[in-house]
Amino acid sequence: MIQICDQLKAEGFCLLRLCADLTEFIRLGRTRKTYLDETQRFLDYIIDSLKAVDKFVRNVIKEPPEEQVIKAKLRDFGEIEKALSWLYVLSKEAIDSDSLSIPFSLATFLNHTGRELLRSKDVSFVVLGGSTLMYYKYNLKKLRDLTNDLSARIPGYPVLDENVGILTFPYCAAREVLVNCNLFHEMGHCIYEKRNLEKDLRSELLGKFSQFFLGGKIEQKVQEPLLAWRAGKNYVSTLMLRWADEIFADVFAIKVLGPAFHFALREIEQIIPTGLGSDFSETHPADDYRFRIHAKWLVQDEWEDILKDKDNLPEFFEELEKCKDYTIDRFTVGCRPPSYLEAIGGELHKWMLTQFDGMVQKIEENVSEMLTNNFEKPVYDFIKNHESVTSYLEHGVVPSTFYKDGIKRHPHPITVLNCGYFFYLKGMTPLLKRVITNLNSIDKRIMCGKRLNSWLGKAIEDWQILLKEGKL
Amino acid sequence: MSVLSRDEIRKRLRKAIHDPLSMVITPLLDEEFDYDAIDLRLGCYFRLPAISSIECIRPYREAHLEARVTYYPELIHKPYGRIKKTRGTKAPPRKSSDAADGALILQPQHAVLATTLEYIKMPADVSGEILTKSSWARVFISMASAPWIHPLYRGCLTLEISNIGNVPIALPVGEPIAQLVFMKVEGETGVYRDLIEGSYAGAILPEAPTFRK
Repeated sequence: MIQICDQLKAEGFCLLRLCADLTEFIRLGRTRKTYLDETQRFLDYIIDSLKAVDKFVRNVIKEPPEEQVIKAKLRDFGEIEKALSWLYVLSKEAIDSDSLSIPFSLATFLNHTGRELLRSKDVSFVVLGGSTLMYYKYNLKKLRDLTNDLSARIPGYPVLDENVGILTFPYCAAREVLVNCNLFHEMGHCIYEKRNLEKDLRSELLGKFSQFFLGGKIEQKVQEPLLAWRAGKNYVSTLMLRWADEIFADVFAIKVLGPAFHFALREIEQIIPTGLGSDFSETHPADDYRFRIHAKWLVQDEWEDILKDKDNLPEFFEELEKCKDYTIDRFTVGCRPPSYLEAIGGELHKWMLTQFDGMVQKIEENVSEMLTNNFEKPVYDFIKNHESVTSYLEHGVVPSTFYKDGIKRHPHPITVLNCGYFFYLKGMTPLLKRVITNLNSIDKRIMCGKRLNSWLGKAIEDWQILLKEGKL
Repeated sequence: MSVLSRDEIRKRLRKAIHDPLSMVITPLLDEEFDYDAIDLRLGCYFRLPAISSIECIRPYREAHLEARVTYYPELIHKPYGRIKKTRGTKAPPRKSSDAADGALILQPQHAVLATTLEYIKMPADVSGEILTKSSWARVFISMASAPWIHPLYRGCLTLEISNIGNVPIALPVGEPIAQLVFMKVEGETGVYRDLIEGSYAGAILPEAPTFRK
């Protein structure tokens, strides 16, 4: 009894020290910095969690529980440790991503867009600076389950808001605006989760898998039919639902941002090639398959004429257009099926790809339905304003207010992003000719690229100020 | 040299960007300018000297000066929080927390580099001068040192703001803090080719000095 009580106290003191260290770490990090509202609220959540843990642990140490409860308290402490190690990682990335080391204007615009589309003021997307060269969405399900569990055990432990999504960008790309358009794809993952589409897709998929397995006489081709059926169900649903999540996020981002998202994805893939030309991986659909979807939606959303225009990278679109004709037979699954199913691996993969093609239609319908009523196709604003925006960028001026035919205009941030990407990909020649500097041509181009990103960021920030002031 | 009137400023704003005589002020909330000047509002970004991390700056006299001055000032952001005022009614008082959020507190005898919220593109035949707004001057806020803007300059204007008074002053982001007077340069300026020149051209943040020879 004495030993286990000592263990409880020792672990309690360790937890208290960890809480104190974490609180100090967050407070010190915040002293000289200003965060995005969403990041600030998230850090407040962590501080509140630490306070609740601190109080709980102190009470346990002060009044050690009865012998039969000690083991339960030790389990509580174990769960708390798990939660704190999660929160440490997230708080570090939140502190790193202070407002000046973040695509600040893009992150605030992203939140604005998310709230408008979901018609909810409570939605918030916390944008963190991650330590890898990747964009990703945190899977908060495990953390949510853990914090829900803790809030049942610890009085006052706050539940992590259902409306919070956490997205991460590569910390080194903090000042970039263009390549960070990839954040909209990550926001798409959060919206997929929120729309609860996975549940429907899963049940339909499993029904079809049963038909395939039983109706296709697969059970006669494998050695252990029952085990193969179980493993197959798991394999098929895991992979296909991950692909579905990716395609949802892609369709969402391409419909919301237009070509800017496609360009951003291509840019990040140049930095970290996926090597997934026609192969579906464990986590992602093949690149060519994704580009086929991009091409389809760029055409449907009326970007085709703009992309084919000789002034707007027509060769880029020609390449993309080729993907439109790819049929599903062109693609393969680059994973090994579970051992019970190896005998029918080829057949299974073919079936999965065919079924996935059908699943994508459902996903597209779901995204389109969400974007029907409260979302104007971004191409319309682009058509009205792109000439002026591009001209402003050529002259080194932030394109947030200009006059056209005597009327004052403020282009939408999505127009600004698309014009900026076209201008950047076309080499920024008119701007480079206009800039006089002692720098060599390479450094001059890098400098102009940085300036371009800062002007685009400022234009997006200005649009939000104008919106706040009721001037749009 | 003559001062540009409100009507002339409005005309210049409507000229196409490729016209060297065009002027840009963005974001432009309204065109309620004074008859001979425009208001400049305080931007969201500041550079405060990190006093503890530098001993002394000796311009032009040090081998690694560029690296040193690039890192000496600390970049700070304060969110935009201008309170909308309705004509004839008093603006609601700011809560103290609002003031801290949307303003930079400048201590007595301290200075800060700031920028205007407006990004300006000057016409080829016009120079500009930044003046402290008189109300701010009366609380001993001074905007000094480099208030002259050359023709064809473009960028957010850098303001070197000093508190030469005895009490701390809150500098509210988004509120008018200075004025810009445009002056037509008489005769040939020779700058009709629209070129972008100078270390700070196109800046949107207050940039650290370069001291390039």
